[in-house]
Amino acid sequence: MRRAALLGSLLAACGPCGFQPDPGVKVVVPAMPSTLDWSTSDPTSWVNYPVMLATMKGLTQLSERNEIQPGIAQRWERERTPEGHERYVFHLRRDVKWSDGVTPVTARDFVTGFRRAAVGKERTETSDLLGVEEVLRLLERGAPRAEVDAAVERIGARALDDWTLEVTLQHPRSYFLARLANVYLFFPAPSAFLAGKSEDEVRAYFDRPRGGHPLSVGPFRVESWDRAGERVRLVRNPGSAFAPKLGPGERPVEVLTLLKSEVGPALYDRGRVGFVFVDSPLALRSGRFPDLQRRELLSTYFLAFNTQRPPLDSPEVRRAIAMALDRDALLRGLLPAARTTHVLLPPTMPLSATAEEAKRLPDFDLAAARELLQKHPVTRTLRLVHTARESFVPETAIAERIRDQLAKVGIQVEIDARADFASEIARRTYDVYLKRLGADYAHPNTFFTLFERTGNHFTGWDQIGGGEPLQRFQALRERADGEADFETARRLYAQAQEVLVGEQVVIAPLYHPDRYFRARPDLAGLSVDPFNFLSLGEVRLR
Amino acid sequence: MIRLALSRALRQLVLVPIVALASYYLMAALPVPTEEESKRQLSSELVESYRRDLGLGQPLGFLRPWEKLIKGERLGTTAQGVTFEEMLVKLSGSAGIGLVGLALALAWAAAFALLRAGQGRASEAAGTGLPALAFGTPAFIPALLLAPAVVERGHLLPELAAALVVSVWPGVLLGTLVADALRQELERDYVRTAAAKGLPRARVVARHVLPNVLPALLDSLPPVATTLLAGSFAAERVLGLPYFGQLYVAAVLQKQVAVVVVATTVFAALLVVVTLGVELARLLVDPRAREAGR
Repeated sequence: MRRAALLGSLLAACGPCGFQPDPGVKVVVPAMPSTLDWSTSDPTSWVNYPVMLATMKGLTQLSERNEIQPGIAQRWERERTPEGHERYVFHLRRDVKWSDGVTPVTARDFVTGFRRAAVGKERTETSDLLGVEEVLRLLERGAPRAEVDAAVERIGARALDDWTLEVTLQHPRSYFLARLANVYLFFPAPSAFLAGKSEDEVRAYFDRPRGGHPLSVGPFRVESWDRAGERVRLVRNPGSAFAPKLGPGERPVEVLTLLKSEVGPALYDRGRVGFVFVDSPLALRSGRFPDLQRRELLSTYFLAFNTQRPPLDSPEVRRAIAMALDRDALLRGLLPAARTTHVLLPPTMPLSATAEEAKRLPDFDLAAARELLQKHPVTRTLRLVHTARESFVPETAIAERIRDQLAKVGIQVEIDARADFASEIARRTYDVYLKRLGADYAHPNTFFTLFERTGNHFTGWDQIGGGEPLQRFQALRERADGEADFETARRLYAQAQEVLVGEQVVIAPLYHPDRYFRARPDLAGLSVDPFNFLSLGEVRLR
Repeated sequence: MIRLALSRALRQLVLVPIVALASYYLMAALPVPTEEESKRQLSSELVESYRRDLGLGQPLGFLRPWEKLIKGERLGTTAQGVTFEEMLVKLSGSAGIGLVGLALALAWAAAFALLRAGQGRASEAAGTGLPALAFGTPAFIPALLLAPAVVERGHLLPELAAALVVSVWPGVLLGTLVADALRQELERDYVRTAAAKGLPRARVVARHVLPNVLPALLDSLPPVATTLLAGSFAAERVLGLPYFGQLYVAAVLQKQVAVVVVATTVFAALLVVVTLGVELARLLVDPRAREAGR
């Protein structure tokens, strides 16, 4: 009968009134999610963040200044076990309910979420949890399902009671609380509704929204996801313990639709959508958007050196180049504002270096650069590689200005914009490359992992001095990661940064990128978070 | 005549399973990533859906996608796959746009043919310039021009804009063909004879010329239908319409191979239906077609 009705509509060509626009607030996003299942997610996870952060919450959350604050956990204790593990006991808020309005969020939900994440597509991200390494090994060698399941049962996540969660890490990790705030693999899963479901049914539970499911904890829940129409409709979760606080004259947003459009800016100009990113350097320079807003990201754009290719195998040459770059001039006029830098860790990052420590890193000093280059001349043209795809970083202009600035100190540079940037730098035939590094969580660790032995930096610095500087860098990072004392950890991270940027000059940081967007004046709290994800959790109507 | 129509119908319909098999085996011939490769390239769920939905290695495996659809099961992965009902809803939207586009294309064709039939420099310039403009402009350009005015407006505006956008190229093509055929027919002896006998020109055109021009028009309808469908891919994307064209593009991008097999066959079936309609219409209006069939 239903199919007959559908066939009828086929014969009638179109529905009675065609495709109607969604009600409520509409936001243009650059990409649609690949899944709505936050526990398993996807390696291309950045596309999933906006929906997951609007619908879910973790044990902790971040303050405006990127400091750790209680989230679903109202408090916690942290201790080192005699075995050298780190044990957290989280005490959960009792007033947090799933979006059905009756089911409380319990410690069991976190255990379920952590266990699902340990076998999900991003399982390596959970490897700090005690026992996950074993799960990864079993999966790697294709062990029987029962064996994997048994190992998953043993991972370091345990419900002591409904409101008390025990989490044990293999090693002390000072960044763990920061990760809990916005790495969605550590969010709870509605265990009562997943119990007894097959793998396929669980997937359908998350990725086929219907009947109020999947449940959420955040201020919104997903009502529908039209893949062909490229839109996700969120509706308000009225019972959320994390609903945005309403100011005078403000009211909540009932429906929020994320959509992709080829003509997003034009739709914004006509008032048909409430938010749009502004990435085009031309549009940013035009100065014609009175409602343009800027969000500082925890991110750094840098020039990386191939430390194994002469003449860049000399740290003095690398230092000379780092000192020959006038960061202010590189960025001048390209963007409405630019936070130029010569340090890797953004100042807004907790545990970043002090001004005194930052001074020790190579900064613009043309005379010193010339002096160094007289002793260590660069006699061949250097190949600078940067990514050719569109980005909110004006890469082409920066690359051209670097070429011009280095020409003034006698270094010739040829620019190679590559669509296959990642593959190209992996070939290590470049001399220098430009790259933006963005934080995944508010902690220095997120910036340092790229430059470790297993990181995708391709700078060859793991071979400098037989690997000694890299080992020292990793040892400092490791000690800092395990350090409970804030100031000691900060000092160790600063020392690690100094090895990478100051002593070995593997990279020359250039600026901390910002993200620009336009949001309608009647929308409050619609923004971008420091990790470059659309932030919907605080949105409200004026 | 009914026998003739049926034989032509069968001849056309046999194309559908051929396309279905061809698209199935093309997709099935795609290399399935090994376990090692799949870690880097495709998620295990995608590989699993690939094997399951295409019935690889099973007898009559090519029927598997259709069997799943008929049973109401989902084709493809949980996140990106589709069910029969979803597909029908999407298809209804695209078919509607296509039908309106066809009507608009016929209107464009008539208008353009009349324009070319006219005397004077302006008509001549338009007759030459318009096809050059229409054929040299991909469908997404007018779609992009219209998009800011219609996207997110509802009330069938985006659908009508899509139909308009996809109809221009086929309309001008049809108009060119019809105008040329019309011109050739008007220069024939029987037209001069009819005029010499005192028949009004309009009557000569309506009664004698148009029936001779109609076969040319009918011949061009199948390629026009193909163009309408292909144009709908771009138009639906730019105009934010969640219909079959978008579904097809998304299925290709998301490597939902079983959906691609089914969607390709559905497109082929639509074209066969159009061709069949043209064949039947030709039998009705063209005595020479009936003669040739005997």
